[in-house]
Amino acid sequence: MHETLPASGPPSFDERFDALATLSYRVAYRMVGSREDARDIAQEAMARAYARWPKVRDKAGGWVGQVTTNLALDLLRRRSRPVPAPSEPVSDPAGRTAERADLVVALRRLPRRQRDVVVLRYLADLPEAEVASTLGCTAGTVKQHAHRGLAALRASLELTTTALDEGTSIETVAKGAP
Amino acid sequence: MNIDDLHELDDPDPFVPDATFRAAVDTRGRRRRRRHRVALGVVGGATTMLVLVVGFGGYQKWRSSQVVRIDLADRLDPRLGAVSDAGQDPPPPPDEAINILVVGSDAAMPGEGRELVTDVRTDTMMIVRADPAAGTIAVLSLPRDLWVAIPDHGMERLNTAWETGGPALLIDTIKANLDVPINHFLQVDGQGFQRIVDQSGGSGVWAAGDLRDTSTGFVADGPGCVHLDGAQALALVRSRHLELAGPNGAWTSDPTGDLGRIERQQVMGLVFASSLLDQDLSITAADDLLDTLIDNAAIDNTWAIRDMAGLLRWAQGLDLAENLVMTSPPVRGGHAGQAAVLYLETDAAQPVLDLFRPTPPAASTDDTGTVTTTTGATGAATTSTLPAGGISEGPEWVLATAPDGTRCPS
Repeated sequence: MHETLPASGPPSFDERFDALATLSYRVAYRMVGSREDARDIAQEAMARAYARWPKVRDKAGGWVGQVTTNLALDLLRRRSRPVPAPSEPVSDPAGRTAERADLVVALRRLPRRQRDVVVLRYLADLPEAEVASTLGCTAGTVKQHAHRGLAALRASLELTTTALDEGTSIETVAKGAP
Repeated sequence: MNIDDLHELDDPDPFVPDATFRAAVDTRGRRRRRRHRVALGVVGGATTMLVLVVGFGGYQKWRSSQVVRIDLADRLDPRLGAVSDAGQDPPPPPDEAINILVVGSDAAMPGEGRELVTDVRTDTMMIVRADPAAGTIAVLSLPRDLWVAIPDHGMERLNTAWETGGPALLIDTIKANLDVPINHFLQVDGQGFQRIVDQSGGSGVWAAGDLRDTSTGFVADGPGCVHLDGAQALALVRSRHLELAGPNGAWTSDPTGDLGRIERQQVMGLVFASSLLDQDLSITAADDLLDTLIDNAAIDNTWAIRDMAGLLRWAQGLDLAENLVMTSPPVRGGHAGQAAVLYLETDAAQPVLDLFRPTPPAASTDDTGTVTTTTGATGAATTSTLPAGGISEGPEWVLATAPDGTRCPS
């Protein structure tokens, strides 16, 4: 195992709180692009970690990263269902709404395992060993999924970018159907 | 955009978790933790049903009916405050803590005048403690592979006590090994469980992917919510060899065996109990359920129906979401000869077992939840001898709610 536990025993929720909350917020913000939503998602992810800390603590970074991703994808799915109001105010201090949308569409297209690896490795910036122990596989498997997932993501992102350049809407390319 | 420039998507103002943020997490987390505690065993679910049904005034029917009685008078711990069936007054609430051994078994219920069939394995063994003073119900799930000293039979699995000596030997064994008193005995069979699930409209659970157990016939198409009828619910709670389909079509087995099953039984119990508590049972529906219990339950011969009714009425008044504690003794996997068995972590088990003993020391059920939230092995010390994953971390292939917290329709 590659777990790096402090000699004093397993880390407490309080000890890890700031690092995990920051990780969760970063992952959420990269996907949803709103401070309010990212805060809310991070709170929910941290509350879930708190409720089951003894099970979570040895793989907390990966666990929180995964829960955050699922919460963000759920939020975006719920938002996308009703007809989006064109005048909807966008609170995205970092801008880049289109890039975010591309990223989410591309992530959704990835097979489950590749997506898990890509999210934990690149969105949550976790080291390979931690991703491996979270997902219960070897570092080699993580490397493989990360490689394939990243290639697929790149191809997917190029596709939407090209489509945009040609004046096609992302929706059409992403969903293939109305 | 370029995948290597993800940091461009970051919030330009760095996020720092402040006190407001932390307070919100604590509030939400505590609410969630309480919900986690409201796990109720499958037979515990049947007991809840009994609670609801008897609350409808059905106990008169029970009283006159032919419930199978098992003579265990010389095995059980007598209760000072036991209420007899004499008298017409409404049953009083219990005035002392009561430990009930609840067994879910494949054994068919014996008919009138026939012997109870015990040469069949159990699905579930649990001790349910009703404590009127504390206003709580606690459930202790007992793994059937627990390695115990069976009086006059030597070291065997706990289930062997049931297989060879029925309820009497099982009670003796539990008392000798766990030092927990047993006041009453209740058995519900698989058919009863199946009928109760069907009568309450089935159960909705969340499956992590395609699941199957070829020995019990369980099949689920995941990932997502799946609806289980009685037969499938029974196949799931009996499953000791659950398998999950991988992306390449290969099946992965749950390495945790009986403990994984206990965790799934708790999930099922939670789903089942919450759907029952949400239901507005009509009197006819309640009657049907009562018939099922009469057909499919057996109780010890010292338990007056009126006494049981008093207990159930008391339990019905409890807010189960707040006052139900689900536990399991800490164990460590190992081998006895060829057999894979579970050893009791004797020292670590004491705080858990104390919850089921008379005058327990200062409650271990405070908000830190160190005792009550854990199923199976506790702490890092127990995981070293176990297969990968550890038994306290059975795969979460079947959950009471979808990962986003929404409940699956039942």
